[in-house]
Amino acid sequence: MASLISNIKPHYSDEGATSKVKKVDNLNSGTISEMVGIIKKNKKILEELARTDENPHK
Amino acid sequence: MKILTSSKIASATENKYIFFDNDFLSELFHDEEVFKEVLNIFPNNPLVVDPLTKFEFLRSVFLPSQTNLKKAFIEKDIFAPATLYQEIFKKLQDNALLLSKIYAHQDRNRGTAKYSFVDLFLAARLMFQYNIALLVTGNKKDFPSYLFEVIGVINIEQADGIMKPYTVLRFNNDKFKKCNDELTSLQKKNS
Repeated sequence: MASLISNIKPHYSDEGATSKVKKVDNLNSGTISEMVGIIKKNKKILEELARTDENPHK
Repeated sequence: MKILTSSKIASATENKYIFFDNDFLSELFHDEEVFKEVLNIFPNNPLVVDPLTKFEFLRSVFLPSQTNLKKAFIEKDIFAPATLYQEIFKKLQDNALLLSKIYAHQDRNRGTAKYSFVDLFLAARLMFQYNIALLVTGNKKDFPSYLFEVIGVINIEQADGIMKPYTVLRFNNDKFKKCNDELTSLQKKNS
């Protein structure tokens, strides 16, 4: 077992990193707008949570 | 929010796949201005998320509404999922195990270093695709300098005014060979 473990060979890829590659410049602006909308909705959730934490009876 | 990058970051990252660590993804998710600015830094790069990074991004969220938003965010096709079928997983596992031995050997006089399972596998991924893969992370200490090389920095202003640095780094295969030779030499003496 010891000899097996101490002889690990490093592995390197001979292919691309992903199965689905899309550069930022190739995205339509709708995708980015949707993601900005998601971030804003998340901010509202966090703000609401902070308010509830300040007033747990709310 | 202000974002400042090191000079020549565009040329240093040209034609590379950019992997985001969980802390950087979370930074993007929390501020739309930061998100849009970062897209401008990497206009021609595929942005890649490792499946284990995605797991980290989604875990420990207890509000269903926030879970849904995080899922919707990470699953947009702006982020390409890194491949992880069985054959690749086995190779990454070998790399991660080998890296863990190198970390332990190199850090032997610096106390016990802590490298998480996810960070080991992310390092294994960067090693596996070292010729094309770069990582953006706020936790440089999880990717030690005896194997990784800093090629740029992105500084992001936080709500309290502090600038938080995110490092752009790559796996340096020459450094790896040196460390691996040292380890192999020691193992031969002890066998």
